Amino acid sequence: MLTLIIGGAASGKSEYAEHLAAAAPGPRVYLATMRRHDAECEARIEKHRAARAGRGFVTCEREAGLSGLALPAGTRTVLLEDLGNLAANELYGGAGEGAFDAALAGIDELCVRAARVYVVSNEVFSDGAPYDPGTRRYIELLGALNRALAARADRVVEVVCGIPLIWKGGTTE
Amino acid sequence: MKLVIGGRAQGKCALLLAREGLSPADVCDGETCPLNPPPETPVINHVHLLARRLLEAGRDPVEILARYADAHPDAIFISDEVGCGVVPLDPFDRAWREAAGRVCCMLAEKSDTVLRVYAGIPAVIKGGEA
Repeated sequence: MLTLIIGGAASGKSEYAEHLAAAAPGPRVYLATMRRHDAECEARIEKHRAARAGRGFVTCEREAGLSGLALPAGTRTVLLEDLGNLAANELYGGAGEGAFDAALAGIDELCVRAARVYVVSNEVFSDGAPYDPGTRRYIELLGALNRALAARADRVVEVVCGIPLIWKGGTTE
Repeated sequence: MKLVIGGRAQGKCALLLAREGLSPADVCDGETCPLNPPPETPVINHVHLLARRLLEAGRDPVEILARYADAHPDAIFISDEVGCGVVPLDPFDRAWREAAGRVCCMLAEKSDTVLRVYAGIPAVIKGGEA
């Protein structure tokens, strides 16, 4: 079962997704896609790590190329955080032009291998700023990935100020 | 306590005043009001800009506004949603976006009612009072 959780920056989407995934059957994997490239990233990673400490997740770090990823034996639940980073890493340092197919194939594979998959994604679409072509390509890529995953997902939830708004799939469980 | 959120220029404040039977004199503007403490008006508008000014002054917007909210359980807060764009290049802008989002999460948690306004139309996203 695939759940897509989308929200803006500091919208409470991670806390909500972690809360959902922590209630799903174990073993549980937290699949982290953020690239460690500076102190700000490290601080953010540590903040997330502290927030999910004691919630029973094994952390796997993978910036891109999810296909063929080795998951711990018997993994039943995967929380992927987040699609915005995965898309950027595929576009700028991974599959490049093939970023859409690579990211989607990787997530499809996760869905075959784990009974519950939770994907956290980002709302980057509403600031109306006139970006350069490279950034526009990223926005288009993430939008396309959100749409493709939403079409596949059993549930799609937007998180606003920590409040879940259901776009697809009935309940917040 | 109530929180009203939405994009810029969606009619959040006008809608709120009409619903609550309040006037513009009941509103403090977070863009220009005194910082510490904010005035004792029923409504604090532009909370996202107040958060930015607090951050510029080296203060913690979540902590200060949580304290204000606890002391004013009938307060109404209005904020733009500012987190729905590409990650800003400027570190201060990133910190502000983070703080504004966290302030809204905190205020939503404390509020009985949260309204999201779109084109002047409210959606109640928390609480039953339509």
